[in-house]
Amino acid sequence: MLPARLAAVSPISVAELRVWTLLVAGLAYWGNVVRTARQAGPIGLDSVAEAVIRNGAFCAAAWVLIAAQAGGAGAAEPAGGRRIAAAVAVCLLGVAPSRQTAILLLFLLGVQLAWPAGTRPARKIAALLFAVGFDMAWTSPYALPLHAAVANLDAQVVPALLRGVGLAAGARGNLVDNASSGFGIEVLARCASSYPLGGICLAFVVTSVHLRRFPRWRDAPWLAASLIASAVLTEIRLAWMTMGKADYLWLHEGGGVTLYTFAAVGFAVLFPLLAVRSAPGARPVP
Amino acid sequence: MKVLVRGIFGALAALVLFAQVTRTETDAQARPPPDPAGVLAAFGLRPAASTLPDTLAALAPDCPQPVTLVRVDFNGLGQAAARSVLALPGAPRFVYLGAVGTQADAVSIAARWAAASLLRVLGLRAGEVSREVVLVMLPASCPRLAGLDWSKLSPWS
Repeated sequence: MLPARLAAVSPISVAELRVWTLLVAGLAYWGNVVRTARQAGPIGLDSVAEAVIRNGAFCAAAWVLIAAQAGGAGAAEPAGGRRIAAAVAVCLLGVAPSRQTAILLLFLLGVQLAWPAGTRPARKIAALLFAVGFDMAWTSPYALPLHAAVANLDAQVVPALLRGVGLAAGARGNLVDNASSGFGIEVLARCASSYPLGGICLAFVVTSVHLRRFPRWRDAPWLAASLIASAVLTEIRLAWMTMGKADYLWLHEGGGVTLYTFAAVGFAVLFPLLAVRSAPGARPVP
Repeated sequence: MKVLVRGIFGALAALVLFAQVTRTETDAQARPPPDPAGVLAAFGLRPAASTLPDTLAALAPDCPQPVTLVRVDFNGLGQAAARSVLALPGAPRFVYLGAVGTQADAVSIAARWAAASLLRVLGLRAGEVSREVVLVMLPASCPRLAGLDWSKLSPWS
């Protein structure tokens, strides 16, 4: 009796409300991606495609998964007025065209979906939104000083690696000098071992959700292993770059970029796969 | 009622896209950051050969020692050059978004960065907020140079 009355006065279902909010969130997110990636000139199809590609495959995959699950993110029951008002309030954040508001929108929408007891697809979408938002914040200009500080630490680790293979090397701040080859590099924020970690977390969540399994606390050691593997890979890359100019150019602009990307993606996918496989009695949940 | 709610969300979606496009256009019209060499020339300083890599040097007509300048990005670019500049004798000036300090005050820099970013979020500021602190090493023997408006190297707006 009561649901029928509610349906009579309530405008749309919770499921439709979720679809609308996710649509607005997606537009705000991708709008920011395209706007901030654009160097100069008008926005065209090619600049949009380039921005999407440069943003990374796991971000695109996350939104594909979100879109695929959006229909099941809410029940068919009517959405109450307060719920609609809350959804509109969160979506209004997207109207301010900035990275900060987009990040806040993703987090608040994630909270709305997961709390108090969202459906399984809703909680999966929430996990994806948190991961996308975290990656967006982690790689934003606001986190650059943090990564620059880590780059100084990386610059201390790289000479230790080089000395381990019998080369004379030292560091001053974020500068690494390979005395054996007379070549040096300056480690900047975007080269720091901390910089890809937001993407690694996103890859972990995307792979887990793709394997039809919700990320759990017991996956934390696997996530930690994934983060450590990424950091080690970055240190090896930096040390290799310091060997000489030819090595630097190959790893920074040549075929080494592809090699590094393959290795990074391989590690990013491997650990969530292992987490799913090793979970005791874990069954994929549709 | 259904049409009204759907209309609100449809309008929100359109507004989000419109705001992004508008921001793109206003950013394109924003004033570019000042060219340090141009600012030094406006002060009447002429370019000089710098002894340090990745730095600019300029000489004032009434001063035998050069002014040395380096831009330090928040991403770490210019850090090494800044260390070299700070090792020079003289009086350092750290310039960021209209503020000139004798020390690299991280709190003041962060506060200015946050305030400028907030204004940008609210649409009250065009263009990306600068991520570069300009370090100027003034020769101690030429106090006149300290009186110049060094904030022009990184103005608030």
